[in-house]
Amino acid sequence: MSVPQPKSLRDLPITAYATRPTSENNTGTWKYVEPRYEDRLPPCAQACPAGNDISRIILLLAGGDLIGAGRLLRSGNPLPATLGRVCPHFCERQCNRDLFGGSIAVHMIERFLGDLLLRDESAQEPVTPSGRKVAVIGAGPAGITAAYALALKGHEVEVFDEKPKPGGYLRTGIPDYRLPKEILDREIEFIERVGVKFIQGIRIGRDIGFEDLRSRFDAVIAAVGLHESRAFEVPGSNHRHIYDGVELLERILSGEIPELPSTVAVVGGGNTAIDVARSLLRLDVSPTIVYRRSETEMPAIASEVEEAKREGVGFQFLTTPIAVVIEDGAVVALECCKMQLGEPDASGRRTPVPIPNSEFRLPFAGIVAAIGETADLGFLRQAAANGKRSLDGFYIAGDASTSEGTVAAAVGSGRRVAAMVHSYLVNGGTTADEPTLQSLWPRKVNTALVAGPQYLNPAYFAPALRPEIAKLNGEQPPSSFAEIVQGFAVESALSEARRCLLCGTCNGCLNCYYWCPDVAVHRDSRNGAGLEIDSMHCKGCGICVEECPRGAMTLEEVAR
Amino acid sequence: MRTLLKGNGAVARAAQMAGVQVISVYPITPQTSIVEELADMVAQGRLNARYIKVESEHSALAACIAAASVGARTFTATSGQGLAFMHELLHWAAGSRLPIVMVNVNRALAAPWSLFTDQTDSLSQRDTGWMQIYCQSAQEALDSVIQAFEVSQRVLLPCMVLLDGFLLSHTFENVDVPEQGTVDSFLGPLKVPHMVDIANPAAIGGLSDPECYTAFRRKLQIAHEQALEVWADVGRQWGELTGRSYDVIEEYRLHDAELVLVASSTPAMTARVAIDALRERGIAAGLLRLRVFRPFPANALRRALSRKRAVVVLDRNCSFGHHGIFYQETKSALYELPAADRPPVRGIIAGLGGRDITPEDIEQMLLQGSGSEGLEPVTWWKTLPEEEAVEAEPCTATK
Amino acid sequence: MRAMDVMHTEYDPVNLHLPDRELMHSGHFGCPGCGATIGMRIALKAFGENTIMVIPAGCWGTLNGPYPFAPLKVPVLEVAFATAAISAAGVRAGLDVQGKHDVNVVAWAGDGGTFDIGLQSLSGAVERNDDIIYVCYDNEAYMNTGIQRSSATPYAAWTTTTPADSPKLEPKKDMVGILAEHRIPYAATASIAYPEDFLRKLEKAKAIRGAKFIHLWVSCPTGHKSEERYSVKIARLAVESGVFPLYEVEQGVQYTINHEPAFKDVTEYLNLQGRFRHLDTAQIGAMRRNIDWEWKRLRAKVAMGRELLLQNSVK
Repeated sequence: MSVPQPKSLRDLPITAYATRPTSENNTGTWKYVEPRYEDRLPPCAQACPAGNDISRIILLLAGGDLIGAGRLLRSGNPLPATLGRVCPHFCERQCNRDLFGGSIAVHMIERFLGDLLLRDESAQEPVTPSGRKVAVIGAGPAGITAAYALALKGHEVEVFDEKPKPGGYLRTGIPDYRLPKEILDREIEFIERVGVKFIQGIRIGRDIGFEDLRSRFDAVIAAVGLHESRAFEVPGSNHRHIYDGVELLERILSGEIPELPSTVAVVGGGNTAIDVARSLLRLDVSPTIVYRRSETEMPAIASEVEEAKREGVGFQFLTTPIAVVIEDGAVVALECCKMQLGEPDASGRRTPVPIPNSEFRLPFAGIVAAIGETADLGFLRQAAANGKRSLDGFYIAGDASTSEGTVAAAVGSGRRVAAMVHSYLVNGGTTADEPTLQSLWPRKVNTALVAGPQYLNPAYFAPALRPEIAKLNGEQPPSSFAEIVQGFAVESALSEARRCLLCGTCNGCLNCYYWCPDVAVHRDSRNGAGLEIDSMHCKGCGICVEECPRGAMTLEEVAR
Repeated sequence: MRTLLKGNGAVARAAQMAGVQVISVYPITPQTSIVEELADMVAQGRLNARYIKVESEHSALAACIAAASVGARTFTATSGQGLAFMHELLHWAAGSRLPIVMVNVNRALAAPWSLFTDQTDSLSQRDTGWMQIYCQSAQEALDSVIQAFEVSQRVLLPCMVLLDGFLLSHTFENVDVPEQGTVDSFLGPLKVPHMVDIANPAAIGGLSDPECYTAFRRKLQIAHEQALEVWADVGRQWGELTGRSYDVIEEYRLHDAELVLVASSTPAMTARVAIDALRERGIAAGLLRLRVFRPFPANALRRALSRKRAVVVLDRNCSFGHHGIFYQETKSALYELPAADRPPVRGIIAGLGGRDITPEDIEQMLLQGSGSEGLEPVTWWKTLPEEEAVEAEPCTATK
Repeated sequence: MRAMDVMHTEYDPVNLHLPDRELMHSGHFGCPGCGATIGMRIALKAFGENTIMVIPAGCWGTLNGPYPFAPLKVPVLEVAFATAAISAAGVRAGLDVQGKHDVNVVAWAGDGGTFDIGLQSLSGAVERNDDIIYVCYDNEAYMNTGIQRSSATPYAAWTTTTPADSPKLEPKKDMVGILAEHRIPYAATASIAYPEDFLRKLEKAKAIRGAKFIHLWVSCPTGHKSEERYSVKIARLAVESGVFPLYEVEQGVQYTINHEPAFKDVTEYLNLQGRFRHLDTAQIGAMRRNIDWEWKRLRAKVAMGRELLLQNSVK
């Protein structure tokens, strides 16, 4: 401690009368560690396959900026109203709030904001055209997202799709009681307003040659999804009452209801199987899911399975069809065999193993096969036949690339591929590495550190339970395709947003500022959070970091 | 206006006329009637002051320090044990450079208990930085308290005014009480430059490093050195206003004296009778009364006592392990004189615990003091005879 | 982390809202993580600029300097150890007689200067009902002189004068209780971890003429042998474990418990402080029983107060 020395008695008062502020002392030299403001990646955003900056969006919503939250959400994700309805919400499974009253209903918030923005008719900000053209094959979620992202960057995008209307699997594979088609239509309208052109009824490889497409556009993205059903290789499966699940669903959703028997076995355990079963239920058919593993291994969304049970869908687990029994030209039964679970396979799920001599019959008048889909990349065989191994300026996005099988993953894939395409277009030919979703966010986050519960300070969390989600309470079994889940009203959305802990995301709560014993946290607007550590006076006690409710600060060692 | 006042009454009146604003009180014999009179004055609206009935003398002085720190004129009174209890804060008040005025009615210190007067209580506080004024009459007590307010606020040093317990505090005299207007024109406004002030916030009294501390102490000493002049000034001013002037020492028949008694307080008053008696017998006796003791009037003392044939210093106190305090200080001041001018000095310790000092005693002290060498430099006056083996004997209680 | 591991509180804990004004400078010489400086910083937000602080010897007596530096933007008068309360009273008297009535006069003293050496002077000021606010920042020992035991040191805590082999067996003195028996107009406990409660109590005190006392629990990483970053957490646990109840008492009779703690097991609080490291199971058991007992006593006072006031109003 250096105290300035007086030079003569005249320099001093008659007793210790001190007026110089202690702020002249550089007590910052005392510290061994120094705090730093650093947002961490919240576990929800880490888990989100669509790359939503969830905590930042909720932060805006909690602060009352509904439009701002919606715009941030939609800055990379063009389908929030859709995703809020159909996504299995992987985020909620990782939500830290689950330890404190139940995870945040993120999907309801996403849907609320998506629906809100659909009412926002404001004009889009004009973007300078880049002069480049991109073709997207497939108007499903991956294609739509990639097109949207590239249009926002000023590229001219045309989307070619073989179906009558855009949407891909969203239109053909998800029933209205989960996703009303008006919602999808309006989201697509918004995407068209951004500048994306949809050209329907065109199949690449048939109506336009693949090479022709490549010559007309600066880059091509194939986002064709998985519309090729896996073959149902069960003897006797050639009958009009034996349906392919994907096709059947598409017909039902397009309004063209085929002739249906009264009882149906739906073979499979994924979302397609459940969607088909619940749709058939609404058409006065009595469906039963037949699945070779047990309920816990079902890939379908758990809440959908619960709904199906509640509505009256039957379930037959650990059962595999061996043959279709046809008598007098009519399907009468499914010959099945009982299964047991053996060792886990590559996906980590236990392999179903037939139990010897366990054959039995289940009476059904019809069978639907919903056992999985694959991508139809036929148009590429042409190129391969022409001797090309890898193709310049050509990318595959969505399920066709990753087979993740969710809309959110498709959106995420679309975003990443669009970023690569944009980089390819502006950097002249070099193909960049596939970026992480978080790197595409407007803000920077330390993705190396996830804001797990050990970084949170629960002293600042008011006890609050996850709210009930309102559902349509109709007769069981239901006979209409009306949307089941009711969205949040404004108050519910706001209160749920306020329940969010905003893990790893500074919300300017000012705890650090209030607690500092050295008044060494300043509210300075230069910093993004509006807060700054006064290094000249910070002694490195670390109280700010400890009392940060959400782990948005770090202590790091000072070089001495 | 002339009226009958005892010493305590005179100082109470003086404090009232000086317009004290904060008074802290704690009772102790023989000062208590001072604060009792002030209580009546405040209660009857004759004095607009805050009267704090504290729970100890330590708190009494603490209250004065605090009130003075915010610019109020403050006063308290105590004696003996009470003064001793304040000891820590006496240093504090002086170091804080606060113009507090306190009357200490001298009382012998325990153990064992004594109610009567001697000066060990105030003199053992001589190192604290307080100014000390020893009064010989109720008139002087009244005049000195008012002068003390003026001097202390000019030099920013606290001041204690000393009265002998019972002999002065409780003896009635004919006292000339000046007009309030006289006091008002005499006493300047109170300004404490380093006071606690919302408009000028400062941290007062913080930890000071050796250099700063030494400097503050040096300033305290310089203030004392300057105070001597101020006491003389103020004494003259008072004389112009009232006809009664004062100086740092008082000389009685000193100019041509060969045999001098140095004394203070009521014994000095008694000494005049002895000196007159000796003069009748042709002995050139004289008196030097120590009035202002802190700051110590060394120059005045040296001038007055230079080349005197014999000096006897009367101490109604003892600094145990050495001698009476006036004796030590007088001798030490006189040592600065050239050897030829230094008078021989003898000390007498008398009157402890209120033992009476009569005019006859003083005559004998002076005669003894001028006697042949071979006498002890310091004499304990008429104590009980000592046995040959002067060993400290344990005081055993009878069973 | 246990499910629903949250504070039971009537306040909104999600966002602190404290007044903006800052009357304390950076650069003071407080230990890193000092709870007493957090306490002062918060308190000044209630007091404001029109305040005179009277500070006796103790941590804050040393923090208020060294000359020529001042850590606060309000005037501070340093006073002798035993004289916090009477000095504040003297300041008040000096201001009053000069017609300056609307200044906050605050004595800011540690537990040593309040529970021990300053007790006489505090008792005197409270008995006289001197118009002062007295805040005792209690770090539970003489910390400024290097961690010696005071009568505010809790049962079995280590200090240099109560080493682990010879622990303090006496319970902590009940200072608010002592002053309640003086019929003090207002006395309350407070904690730096509950700043809004502390501020509310200071505002309440400011509005009352007469003697007011706030017993503020502050952490001390140096003396409690705890990690600096846990200073607020430990202060919170002192309350949530029931060790330090938050309550107020008016006119010495009307008790109000301000916060029902979660009564977390006291070991959570003890384990963060090295001064309790040597405790054995018997001592911890005694602590638990003591917490129970003190809360029974407190609730009995609440009930008695209600009963008395009811009887008084029925007349």
